Order: sequence, then C-alpha cells, then structure tokens
Amino acid sequence: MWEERFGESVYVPLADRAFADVLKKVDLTPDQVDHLIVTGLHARAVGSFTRRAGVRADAVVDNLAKTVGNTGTAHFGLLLADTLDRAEAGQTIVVVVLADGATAVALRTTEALPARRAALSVAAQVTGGRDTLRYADFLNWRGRLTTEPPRRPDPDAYAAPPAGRNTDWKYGFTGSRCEDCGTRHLPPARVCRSCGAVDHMTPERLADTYGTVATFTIDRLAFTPSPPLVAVVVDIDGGGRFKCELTDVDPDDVAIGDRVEMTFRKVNTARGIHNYFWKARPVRAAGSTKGQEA
Amino acid sequence: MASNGIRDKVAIVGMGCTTFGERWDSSVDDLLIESAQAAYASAGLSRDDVDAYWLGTMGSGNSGLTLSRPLRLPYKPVSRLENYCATGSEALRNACYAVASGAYDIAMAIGVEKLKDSGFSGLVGSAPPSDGTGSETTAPANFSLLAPAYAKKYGVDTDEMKDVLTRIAWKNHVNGAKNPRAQFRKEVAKDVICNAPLVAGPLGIFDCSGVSDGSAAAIVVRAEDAHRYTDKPIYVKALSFIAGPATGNSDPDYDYTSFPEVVASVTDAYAQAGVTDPRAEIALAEVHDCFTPTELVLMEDLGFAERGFGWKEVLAGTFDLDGDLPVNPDGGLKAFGHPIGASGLRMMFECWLQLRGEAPSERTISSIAAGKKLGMTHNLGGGPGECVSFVSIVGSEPSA
Ligand SMILES: [Zn+2]
Repeated sequence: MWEERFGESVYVPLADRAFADVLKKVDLTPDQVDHLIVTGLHARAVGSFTRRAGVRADAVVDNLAKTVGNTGTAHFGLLLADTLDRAEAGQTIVVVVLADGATAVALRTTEALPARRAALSVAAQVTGGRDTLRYADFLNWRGRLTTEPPRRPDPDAYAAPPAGRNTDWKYGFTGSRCEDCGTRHLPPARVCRSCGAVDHMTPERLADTYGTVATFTIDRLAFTPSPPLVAVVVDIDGGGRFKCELTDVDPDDVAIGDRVEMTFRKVNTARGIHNYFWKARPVRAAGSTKGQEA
Repeated sequence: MASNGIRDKVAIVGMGCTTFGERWDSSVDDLLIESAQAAYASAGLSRDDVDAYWLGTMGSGNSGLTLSRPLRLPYKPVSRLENYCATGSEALRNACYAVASGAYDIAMAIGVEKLKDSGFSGLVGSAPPSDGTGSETTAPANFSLLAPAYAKKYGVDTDEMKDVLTRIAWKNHVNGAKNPRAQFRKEVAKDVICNAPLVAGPLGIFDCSGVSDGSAAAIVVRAEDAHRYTDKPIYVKALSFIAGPATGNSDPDYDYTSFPEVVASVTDAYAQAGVTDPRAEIALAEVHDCFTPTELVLMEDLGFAERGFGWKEVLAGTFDLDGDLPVNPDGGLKAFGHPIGASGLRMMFECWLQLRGEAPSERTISSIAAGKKLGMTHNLGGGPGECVSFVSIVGSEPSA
C-alpha cells in the first residue's frame, strides 16, 4: 500500500475535476444532484471527496461498506443498482469512480424506471444474505488457508472451445423446448427425449425460473468450495429437470419440496481457471411468484 | 429387428481369477499374467492355442498391447475395450460373438484393473475437455438417491430402510468371509455397518463397495468342441448389453426406484435364454452391488422380487447363501472391491465354480442341489437415470 495521505492528495483533486467537468457538461450544480455514488479502493480519498463534493447530505449514497464490504470493480454497478431501487423518475445520479484516476458519469432516470424495478432489491438481497460463513472458509476461498482436499483427483479445468460453443447454456442457463411436443430440455438438446424430433427446438432462458426439489443427497466425497456438497434434483416450473449443487443452505435443513431459484456461482478453480456455473439456492423472496409464469 | 442371441452356441471351458485386494506386490502385467495362466491351465491349453483376445480395462492401459506385451503373445489379435463397469463382461460378450461367428475357434476374454496405486477414494475416470457444466457429484451420492426414493414409494420407514441396506452389506460380507479370493474376508457385525461414518446421503462406508486390484479371464470355444477341453463346460445362454438414453436426470417422470436399462437388458436376456420364471429357474445371481441400495433395486428390476417387495425378501433371507436364490454368493463387489475391467469376469468365475460343483463346501448353495442349472451375471455402469447394463445367463447343460 502507498502512503495513505499521499494517495488522498492525488485522488481528491482528480475527483474534483472529473465531477466539475461532468456537471458542467450537463449544466447542473452540485446541489441539483439527487444521488451521488462514490466508489474506489482508496477509502480515505473516497470519504474525503464525498464530504467536499457539495451535494445535499441526503443525496450521498451509502457505500455498503458495513454490510457488503468493497466488491472492487463490481461496486460501481452494485451501488447503481441499489440507487435505482429507490430513485424516482426524472432524477439525476452522478457516479464518481476513483481507480487509477477519476471518472465521473451523470445519469438521468426516466418515466420508465418505476415500472422496471428489479424483482429483488439490493437491500432485500443484503438483508436476506447469510452471515454464517466461517472465517476459515473465507480464508480458504481466498487462497490464504490451505486445507487437505478429498482423496480424489483435482477437478479438471474447463476448456474454452466447448464453453464457447455452449455459451447460452453455461452463462445464461438457456434450455430448449421441443416445437413438436412441448418437452423442455435442460441442458438444451438437439434430439427430443420424448418424441425424437431433431433440431425442432426453441431456446428458453430459465435463469429466473423457480423450481422444486424432487430429491436430494449430501455428498461428503465430492469437491466443492463449501463441503459437504448438497446435490439436488430440481424440477423446474413449467417442465424440465436439472441436477445440481444447492448452495447457501444448511445441509440439515434441506427437504423434498423446497422451492429454489438458480444462481451463478463458482464451481471450482483448476489450473488457475475459475469455473462458474449455475447452482440452486433457496428462494429469497418468500411468496414471490417470480418466474412461475415462464 | 431382433436380438437373436447365441444360446448354447458357445461354452466357457477354462477360467482364472486372481485374489482381489491391495495387490501392492503386483503390477497390471503381473495380474494379467496370473489370470491368463490360470485360465490356460484350467482349459488345458497353452498361450499359442488361443486364436484371439478381448481385453477389458477402463484405465489400466490402452490398446491390445496392454495384454500382448506382458504375455508376449505371438502376433495375435487383441481388442481392448471399455464400457464403464460392464467392461469385463463386454470382453466376454465380444469374445463369444467372435467364436459364434466362426471367425475364431478359441478366444480369451480377460479383464484387469489396478485401482489402488492412485491412492484415490472410489472410482476415477478421465473425461474429454468439457464446458465445465457437468455434474460434480460422486458415485455414492448418485446411487444414494435410490434409498429415500424407494422408501417413500413403498412406505418403508427410515429405520427399516437402514436395516434392509445393512442386511445386504452384512450378507455379502458373510459370503466374502468364506472366499479366499475376496478383498475383505471378515464378517462385519450389523451394528458396525449401521453406525459407520456417512459417505453420501444415508450411505455409510459399509454401504459402498471397496477399491481393489484384480484380474479374471475366461476361454471360450464353440459348444460342440467344448468337451475336448473339459467334462463340465458352462454354456452361454444369453448375453445382453444396453446403453440407456441417459434421460433420467433431466426427465421429471423418472423416480429413482428402478434402472430401466437393467429391465431392458434382463428382458432381452431372458428371451434369449428362454427363461420364463427367473425366481424358479436361476440357481445364483452375481449382481452389481456397487452400493447397497443398488442391490435392493436390482432384485426387483431383475425379476427376483415383486415391485415394492424386494426389501421384505432381503429381510427374509431369500438372497442369502442358503436362500431361495443366492445373490452374490462369492461376496460381490462388497467383499471383492471393484477393479472395473475384472469384475464382470470375476462374477462369471463364481458361476463357473458353483455350476460345476467346485465351490468350497462352506460356500455351497442349496439351489444347485435342488436341481437349478442357471447362473446370472449382471453389471451396471453409470448411475440412476443414466447407465449401461449387462446381463448374462449361463448354464451347466445345453438345452434339450
Ligand atoms: Zn418432442
């Protein structure tokens, strides 16, 4: 780490300039900003600039340091999503990012915003999170504490060409539905298991569709970042079945009939390559019917 | 379209089977030499008499050279094949077809696997480069799905189900304790089995088959030539191998209480062999007890018990050594471990001993004395919802 006050002395003037430039371009004054988001890894500079920016006290967006921490590159998007959960139509949002220089972006919300809110707000997701992570697991995930792996081969690293061929499935959880008989397939299939039709398929993105646990088991031998691996067979609302890992759950609390949603998570890291894919997790908003109609 | 089979066209005239276990003393080459030499001797043949070879191994070597090199075979055809846990049985199936076709007079099927050297728990396969979206679960976890599904469907409570699974492991260990070739030669008390540490779901370590090294071999000839080599040939009545469409884990209609692939292969095998009442006709069955719930479900899929009643037959001792239909009288995968390429032929070796009346007295089964003359071997590879299945039926007499 560099000397903290030196960093502040470099960052703050840059932030002042970027903020002034962007306000000048949109012809606004600081007191007209409705939401000010400031992010960056240099906490002292972020705080210092926020205090001197000249915006109304109620316009400063909480940086979630106390509940989420600092997510780095993703923090800009996270705070913007949180702000859009609350902002009204016709408001001004300014984002200032302090990272190897300073960047400022001015945004204006439109009349479409209230009707297009996220189904689950950032605040609700933060509240619904689990804080049972053991410090030893956190250190293990960060590679700072090595634990003895199962007496099994190391996980294989995935390969780019097959991942590239299957992008919609791997990253979008997109299955397919048979145009002839309506059977849904996860992963997407070219040949229908029900009627044998070939290449008569319509893609269906199912990442936001809920499912129900048909059966499950606890695998004490398999590799997972968070052992033991809870394996579930999920029957997806509207058809199709998918077997995967269930995460964010206490293994003793799993039951047949549990409602789950899909979430994109780290599966493993092999040969330095991080593999992410879809796991199930208990639904976060109780009683929500999100995805039921899909 | 037909599965005609080769009933009574081919007979086994010699077999060899190594001791299974932690064979730190032996390499893959050593195990192959050991089982091949025993099979040659059993048939009164020498290496040069065998016309062609089928070698089954999943991971202990590639190509026919894996066999021809240690045996120094004099320029013979050797096929090397793999078909999951049915690998050893596939070697036999293909060798039998080659002889039945007339292409060769004498063929050897031989299987080998050396699992212990890697130090891994359970079985290990190598997969081609993937997109990283495949299942991460292990075999015990996949098979453990059978137990709660079966219990729920047939109203068996959790404790009763545990007793049923425990009894299967207990029975196979009792049988294995009487077998000098087995990996585990000790009986295990039921409370030890029941209270063992969990591996996956309700399955403890004693619900899982072991990991071992081993090899077994069979020599097959046309049935009409069989008496040149032995007074007691074992006739091949049926050979069926099925690869399923692998849809169970993506089809909400699959309920994890049956293996449709097993039903398809056993139906085919019974038709080939002309078996109409398996419970009455079959003297012994060597089935794929990779995990205890697998053996339970197989009793129903193979037609040995009515649907929903397999668990009661297990508790009643129907499949014990002195039961109506002894299952895994040699100790099964439970007592032998599962060196993949060897297991199917190891099962056949028990049929060979029992049907020829050569099993040691402590392992003699009453069903043979009662006049039954058929033996079955069965393998299953993969897991519930996505597997391959093999069934053979052999007998001590040709059909009338
Ligand atoms: Zn269809």
